[in-house]
Amino acid sequence: METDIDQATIQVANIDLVADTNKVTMMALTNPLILDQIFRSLDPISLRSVRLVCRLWADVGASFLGKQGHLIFLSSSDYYCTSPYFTMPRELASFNPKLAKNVTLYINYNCNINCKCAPNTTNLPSTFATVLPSICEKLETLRFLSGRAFEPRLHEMWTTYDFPNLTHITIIATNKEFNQHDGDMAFPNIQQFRPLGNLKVLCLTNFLLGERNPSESDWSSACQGLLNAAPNLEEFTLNSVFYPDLSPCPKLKEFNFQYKECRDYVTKEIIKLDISEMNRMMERCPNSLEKLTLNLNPNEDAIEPTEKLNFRFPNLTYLKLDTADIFKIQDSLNVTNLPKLTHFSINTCNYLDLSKMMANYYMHHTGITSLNVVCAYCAEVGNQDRHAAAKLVTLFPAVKEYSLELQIDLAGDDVAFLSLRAMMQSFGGWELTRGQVNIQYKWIPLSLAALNLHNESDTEVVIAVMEGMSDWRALPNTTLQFVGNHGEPYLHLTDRMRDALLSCRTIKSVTISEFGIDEDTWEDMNAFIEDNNLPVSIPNIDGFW
Amino acid sequence: MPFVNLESSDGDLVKVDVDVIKCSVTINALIEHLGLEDDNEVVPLQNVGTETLHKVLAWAKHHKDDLPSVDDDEDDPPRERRTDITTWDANFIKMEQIQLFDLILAANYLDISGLLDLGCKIVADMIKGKTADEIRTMFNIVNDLTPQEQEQIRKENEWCEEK
Repeated sequence: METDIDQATIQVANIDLVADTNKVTMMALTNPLILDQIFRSLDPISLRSVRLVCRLWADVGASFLGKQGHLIFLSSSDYYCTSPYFTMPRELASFNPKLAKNVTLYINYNCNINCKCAPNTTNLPSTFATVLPSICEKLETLRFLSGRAFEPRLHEMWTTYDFPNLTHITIIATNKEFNQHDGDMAFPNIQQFRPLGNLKVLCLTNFLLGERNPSESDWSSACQGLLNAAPNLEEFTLNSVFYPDLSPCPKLKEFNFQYKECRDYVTKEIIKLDISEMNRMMERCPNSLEKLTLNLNPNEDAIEPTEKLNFRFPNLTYLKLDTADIFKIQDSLNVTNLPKLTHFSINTCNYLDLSKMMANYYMHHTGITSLNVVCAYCAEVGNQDRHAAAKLVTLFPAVKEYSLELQIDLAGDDVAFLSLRAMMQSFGGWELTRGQVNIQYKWIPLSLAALNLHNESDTEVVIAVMEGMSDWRALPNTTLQFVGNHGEPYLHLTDRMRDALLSCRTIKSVTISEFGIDEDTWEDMNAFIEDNNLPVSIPNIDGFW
Repeated sequence: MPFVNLESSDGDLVKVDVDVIKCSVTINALIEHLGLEDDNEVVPLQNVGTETLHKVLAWAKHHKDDLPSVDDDEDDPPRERRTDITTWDANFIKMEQIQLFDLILAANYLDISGLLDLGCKIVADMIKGKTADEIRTMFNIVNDLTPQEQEQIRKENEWCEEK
């Protein structure tokens, strides 16, 4: 009897506990502030699940799903030009404005020369146009992927609606079907755009396919309109053939500018970079600028322009240039014009060698502590590269972090390898806290690779680089990587290779990957590395034995 | 005034160093609003039971010297924000579901952002990877969505693609 009473008591207590648990749980899980805090830690998949739990969760979850996801709207032409990469437009009946924080629009993006869509398909995607009034105030990021640079209806949008929360705009245009539709298009007059007070990032890319079309001026005025409306813009990326006025953006911190030569659609003449215009643009660029990337023209024939760029930025800390551009800015890269510059990066599209890159450059900059160089090593001018390397150390004596990416080919004789070793030796003067050297073998056709006889000189490059680096003061802080190509070159474990590996035994790490190597050599090499406790790894990649 | 008496909803008084409980925006505001000047003054906390209050104070004592928290950047990916639970916090938060939600409610009422964040992250971890049915079962939530509403939400969810 007593046992029955005890069990009944326990059951009642359990029921009370369950009731209390439910009550407390419900109090917490129906509080929107607490839900907000819980949902912000969830991934999109989990957010989709929680939206199906109950009405409150569906509503609160929508904001977070909208923030982490994005909606895609397609123009009618994109609908008909179906592509496996794009899904069909979804039912508008299921639309929830809270989900529309990040939106991507495709406008005639998939049209091609055989496209049958009507010439007047310049409207915004109909579903987007329908919902725009209800979502414009919530939008945070907008991406436009368009077939042409200038979309009248798109830019009219900026004069019609307010976007108080919009922080990112990306416009990517391909101009690929210009001949198809643009000829008869009448461009409306663009009035002043409404303020985009929260816009922080603007990215405008126009992939001109060889010719600048007449709508370019409209595109440039639309871009300028966006800049004028964005006083708090912090990051601006422009890939085009015009020079905007950046003075309306006094808080600009980062500017990435790429100029790509193209032909005028009417005159067929090449529209070259106008240094005067470029200088004017840089003069009006605000002093707030901290990061600047210029890629003005990678063509080698533009290496020695008659006019030079001249700019001053008191707060610039990071400068990245394409190889050819160093010739254009040679007088600006100094501590007077760029007193706070600490990071300098010289990149190259055409893999020029170091001596060409540095040929006309002579100004010192003692503030640069981080240097990134991407270049090629050319056997014919290897000796000049040695002097260029020494020059680099002299011009930028304060470098503490150095990254070198060197593209190299297999061809070479003993002189070339000696020069390579001397070049690498010349970099040893810096007191680095971090060094990173990547040696990348040039791509060679497989047919030629197959002809390679795998003689021992294949690994001369590895030996020359390691011998050159062996006296680096910063060797313990340096990583070295060799990357072969399709199993070329072929790695041999010669006495000189053993000596080279031992000479760099204090290096932080060495990786030799994608080389050809036979199984016996690989085992011998690893045994040698293990016996001498060397920080060297040679990943065993299938197919290269 | 180095100490303050906190009165739980059960009527118990707990004397606590003001420096320990400074993390609570609500208690700071109450002290200021009530004009408390000596150690015998009482701050009534009508929404926090004694057991939960002791847990809150244990957490507050451990985090007494933490730097003020910086607001989360909402643009941060959630996966990156999840990694900041310390071992002490992870051990502290091991408790029954009812205690966990009591603590979350208390942290919300007392406006202690660090503790609220910790509790909510644990609940989020309980939710991750579960279906809506499983979540409802776990928390005993009543499904008030009609089949039509569920279908609409499914369509909305499908439309919203991952960034």
